[in-house]
Amino acid sequence: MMQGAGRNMQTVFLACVQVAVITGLILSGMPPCVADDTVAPDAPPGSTKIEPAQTNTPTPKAVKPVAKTFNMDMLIERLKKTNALGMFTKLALRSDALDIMDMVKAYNKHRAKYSLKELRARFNGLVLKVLVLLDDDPGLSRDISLAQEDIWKSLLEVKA
Amino acid sequence: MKTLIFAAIGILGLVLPSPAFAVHSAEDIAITIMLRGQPCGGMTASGGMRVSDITETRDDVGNRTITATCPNGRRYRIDVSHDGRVVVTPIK
Repeated sequence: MMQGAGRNMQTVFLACVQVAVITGLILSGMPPCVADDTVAPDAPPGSTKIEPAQTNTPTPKAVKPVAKTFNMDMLIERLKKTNALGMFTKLALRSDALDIMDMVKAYNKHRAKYSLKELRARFNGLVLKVLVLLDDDPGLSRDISLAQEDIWKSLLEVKA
Repeated sequence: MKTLIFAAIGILGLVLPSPAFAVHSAEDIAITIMLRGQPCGGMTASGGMRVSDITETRDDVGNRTITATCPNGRRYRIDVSHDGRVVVTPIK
């Protein structure tokens, strides 16, 4: 008998708590039911479901950074055409590049005097020279700097 | 009339587009000497490094030989082969 009364009291208490919570939510302007997200957040309680609006505008997609494709021929062409370097400077840089290419060819034939680390250091030095000299052509300087790793990889693929 | 013509030529020279940062040949040769690992001296008053006393010869094959004096007083010979290889040699 006493246990039954206790259970009833517990049930009444829980019901009161639920009512108080719902009342508090209503008074604070929040909808009593938050499980269904089709109801507008600021709609009055008891309002009907709102169908999601069908719009023709595409949903915005996350913009992925487009990696620039590496084009060695285009970079060489731009180096040839730039006004930031003089003719003899271009020829001297070309000579340096040809020297490194010869060293890489020798390395690939296992007849090199230099290690791969030394070749890389020479390559980095040449790129640094080019970047310093291209002070008046910042666009080309930036593109060469970005393509440095790709240039090195393509240099290593040079066949003897 | 002559004054007008000269004035017109002068204005045209100012107006016509020219390469904004074209490298002077004396500066170009100085950079080439340094790129090949030779000392060429300090900067000039204009901010760049320029060689002087430039002479140039060209043979039948297309090889070019340039001699120039650096700001540090050293004189160099720059050999540009017909296939574009550059060699810089100090002249003693």
